[in-house]
Amino acid sequence: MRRPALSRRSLLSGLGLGAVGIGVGTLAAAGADGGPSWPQYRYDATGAGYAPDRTAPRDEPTVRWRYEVEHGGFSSPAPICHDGRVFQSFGERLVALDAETGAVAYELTNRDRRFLSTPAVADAAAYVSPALVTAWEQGYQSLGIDGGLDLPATDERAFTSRWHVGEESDDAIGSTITLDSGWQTPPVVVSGTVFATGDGIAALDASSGRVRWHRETSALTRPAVAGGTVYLPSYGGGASLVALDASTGERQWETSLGRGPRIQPVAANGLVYVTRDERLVAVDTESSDIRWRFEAGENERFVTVPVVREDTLFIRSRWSDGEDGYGGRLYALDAASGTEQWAVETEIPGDDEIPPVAAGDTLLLPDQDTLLAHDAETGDELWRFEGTYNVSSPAVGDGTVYLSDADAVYALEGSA
Amino acid sequence: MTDRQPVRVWDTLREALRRLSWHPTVVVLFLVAGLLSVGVEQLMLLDPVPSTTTTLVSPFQVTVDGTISGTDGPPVSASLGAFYGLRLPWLAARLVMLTVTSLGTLAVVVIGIAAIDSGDLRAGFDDLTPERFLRAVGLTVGILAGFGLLVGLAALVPVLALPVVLAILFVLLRLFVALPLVVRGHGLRRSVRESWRRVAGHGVRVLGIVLVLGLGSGLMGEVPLIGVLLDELVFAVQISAMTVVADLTGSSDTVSVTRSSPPRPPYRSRG
Repeated sequence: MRRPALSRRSLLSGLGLGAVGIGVGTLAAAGADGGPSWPQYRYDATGAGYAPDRTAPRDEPTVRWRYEVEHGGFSSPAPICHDGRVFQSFGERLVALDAETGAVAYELTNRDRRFLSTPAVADAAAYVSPALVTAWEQGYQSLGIDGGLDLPATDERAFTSRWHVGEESDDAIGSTITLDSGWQTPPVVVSGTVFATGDGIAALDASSGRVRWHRETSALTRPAVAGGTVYLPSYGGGASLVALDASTGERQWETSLGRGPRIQPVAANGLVYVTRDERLVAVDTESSDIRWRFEAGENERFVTVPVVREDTLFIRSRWSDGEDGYGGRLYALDAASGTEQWAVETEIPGDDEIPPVAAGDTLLLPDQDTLLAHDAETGDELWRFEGTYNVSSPAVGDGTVYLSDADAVYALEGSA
Repeated sequence: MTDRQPVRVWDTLREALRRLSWHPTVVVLFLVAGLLSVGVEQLMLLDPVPSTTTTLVSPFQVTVDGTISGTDGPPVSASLGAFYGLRLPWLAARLVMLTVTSLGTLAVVVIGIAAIDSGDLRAGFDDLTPERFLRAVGLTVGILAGFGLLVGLAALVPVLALPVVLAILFVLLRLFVALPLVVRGHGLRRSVRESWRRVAGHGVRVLGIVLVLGLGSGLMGEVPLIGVLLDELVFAVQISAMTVVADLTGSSDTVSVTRSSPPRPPYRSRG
């Protein structure tokens, strides 16, 4: 037997704390404002980046509001939205903005600890309101999403901290999710479970922060979770795709994908799509066999992970003519067979672009300093928004697109 | 009229151990209480509340030991803010479990003190009258309520953190013998006043006793497999030490306990 963490003194003090909790608990978490939710990076845990019920502007949007930020990083964390709030982290600050006006509803500033990822909204069984889970320099932390009480002794509402997990980098146990100092893969949330990656992957209870399981892997990219299975890359000599049971972490299968750069899986339609330079591969989730491959053209490589909108897959490429000519291309493929449906020329993308997303029948393509909107049926460009630089992955509400760049958070609205 | 004697840390602890050695059944009682705590903890681990297993390390932070869950994961910490927004059923269930365990533990303490005083476990049970038990509950709840207010104040005004911690420590030391006095039949107010008066002038040495026992508890708790039982033994020594200090600082207590066995010989501090 181990020494009980619940000591007698703890029990007694817990009584007092519990009494306090009853008081505040009954008053807590009131007043969700409603509104569409884009609860995590790329909308959901599959990584498909497709929100069927969200509508993006179809015509040139206008800036409804702009909130200036200062983070000065090489990439911009993506905003998310939930219940009438837009959540954006930058540097040591995490702010909740009113989705209608862009006014700061509440915020949290970590002392000398930067937030390192786009946050994610997770169900928290024991709480009235969901949790906002994010990576920060000490690991992962969970905050009450609703901003707490506005007590007379405090100036204003603020995020309430619920738990944090992961310690300093020299903590042997914490090393399973030790983070680099730079921007982290955003946590992936499925209901009440948070899949957190660092130099391993851990499944955390969103309500308590308890570690349900963890595995040491080289999961450097965002895993995809679908149908009770976690798909993530593994590197050891070459790259492979690993499937883990989402509830236990047990390995279900592993399939080799050969040598190449890092991969980020996307799960949809019973397949896992993996992009590796000039090749897009679809792996069957049941058999782990490769169902189809799609090869880019000569002097062409894929620069994003795909977005999968129902039975169509979209992916961006960058090509050169072997001399000084460069271009960009947007492909639409049949998601089940890999057959090309159409391809259109686009802006010249960077070498490693932020993945596109799809909201309803609109594709949104972050492109360095620009957000491009294309029609998902024809590939025609609908509009473009010029930011400064480092345009983030967008979050989409009803007719409104939220995104950030190096200078600000924006709400773009237009006719859907 | 009181007969105050010096309180010496090691002499007190030695005497506390000697008293327990007279009554090994009292030790068994504490072990049963410890197992009860473990059982409740296991139940609470199923409860998805961040502070499921709390070890209060400061007024502002509780640390959750996640290793007992069977998964050697990173340690999880939660702040007082973790109580904000909890659903009432979780709070209620948590309070029920805490209350059952706390009252059970308090009953064991009352029986243990009475048994050490009277020299008989059965006498200890006989002394667990509703009146004394309620007084013991009242004393504990009163102390915790006071501390709760102080902690709440410090949570709102962080600059008061250190003064609050020091104040709580001071009060805890001054009330070190209040519980034995309650069990011995004193009223609530008199027990508090008497404890406050008796410990005055002995605070540093009582603090020494508390620190030694705290260190022992920490060390014992780390022992694999039987750590929880060893920790309970340390707690039993602490309760026994409270009776020793109560005797040393005022031997004229009216010990109105049932004496079904010969009373222990009077204890005198050496030197």
